[in-house]
Amino acid sequence: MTMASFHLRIVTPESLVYDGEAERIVVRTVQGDVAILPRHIDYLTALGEGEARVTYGGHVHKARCCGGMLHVSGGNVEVLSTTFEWIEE
Amino acid sequence: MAGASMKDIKLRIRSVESTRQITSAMQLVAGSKLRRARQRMEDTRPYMTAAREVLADIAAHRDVSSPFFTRRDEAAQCVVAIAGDRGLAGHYNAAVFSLADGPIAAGAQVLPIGKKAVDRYARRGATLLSADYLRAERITPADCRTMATRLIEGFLRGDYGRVTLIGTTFVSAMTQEAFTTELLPVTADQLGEAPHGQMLMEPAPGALLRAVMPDYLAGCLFAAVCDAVACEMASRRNAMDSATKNAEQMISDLSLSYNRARQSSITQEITEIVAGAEH
Repeated sequence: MTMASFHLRIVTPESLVYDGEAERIVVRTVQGDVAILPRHIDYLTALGEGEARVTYGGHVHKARCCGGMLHVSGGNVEVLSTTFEWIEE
Repeated sequence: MAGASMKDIKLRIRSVESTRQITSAMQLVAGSKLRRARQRMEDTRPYMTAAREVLADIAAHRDVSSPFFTRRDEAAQCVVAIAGDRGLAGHYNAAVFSLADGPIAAGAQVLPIGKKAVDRYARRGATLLSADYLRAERITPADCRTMATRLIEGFLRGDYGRVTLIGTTFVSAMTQEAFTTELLPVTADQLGEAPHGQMLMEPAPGALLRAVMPDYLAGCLFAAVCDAVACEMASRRNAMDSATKNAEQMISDLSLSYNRARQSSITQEITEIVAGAEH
């Protein structure tokens, strides 16, 4: 069985960081960590500074994410962050 | 007589030649910087499109009333003026200044970006929010975040009720236009229609807006700076292109007069020799 997934786009003012399917994303918002799973309702929040964990292709990818917004609409998820840098394991 | 003028012409040709070398080198440098700057400019687009949608969503929310959306026409103004780091870029800097000088002379505070703008408004004794942003080319999103936070602080404190951006927009490699746009308060035409219905917002819209505003504004500033840098490079490349062409034209005109002078001196010599032989 394949994992349910949603379309995720991560953009910063400098570039499009990620554009593809993802199974889960965890980000630090101004009010604490939030995990987004497929079929989330339309949602908007502000991001704080902290670690983001994106699960795609069955693996968790970590990143440093600072400031910005998280936007879910029609099942599509967008992360607009001032800086978003993958942390190499 | 003719010999002296030949020497003069030769000197002029040499000096025009070295000017041509400089302008054509500057043209090549600007051309390669332009390619990079254009790429950087294109890369800001997805973020800005998405950020505008988010703001439109918040603005469309029923309960939102925020100073960021409230117009105060009588209020003092703050101008963000983006100009170049250097001259020799056609009318690039002059076009920005012609838009910015009016409001700044009328007492608006100013956040100048680019050495030319910083120097100009520091010299004119305008109130500068910061004089740190000398190199428009080197400005990062983090710098823009700092500027945005500062602009918002002053705006909420009531130092000014409007923040205007004056920059240059990249129409094409041949055309760049200086423009003025309102950054704060956020106007409906800046955002367009809200693309989505009502959505869940955490925290409540007002607080959410307060939290995302610096990021949105930083995005606007960064995009504007990237646009302006691309314009500066395009403008410099075009200016240097015509300077190089002018120099080439001058060299060819001067070579023509040099050859004429040379020919006439030879003719004169022959005439003198022939005249001498006949006697």
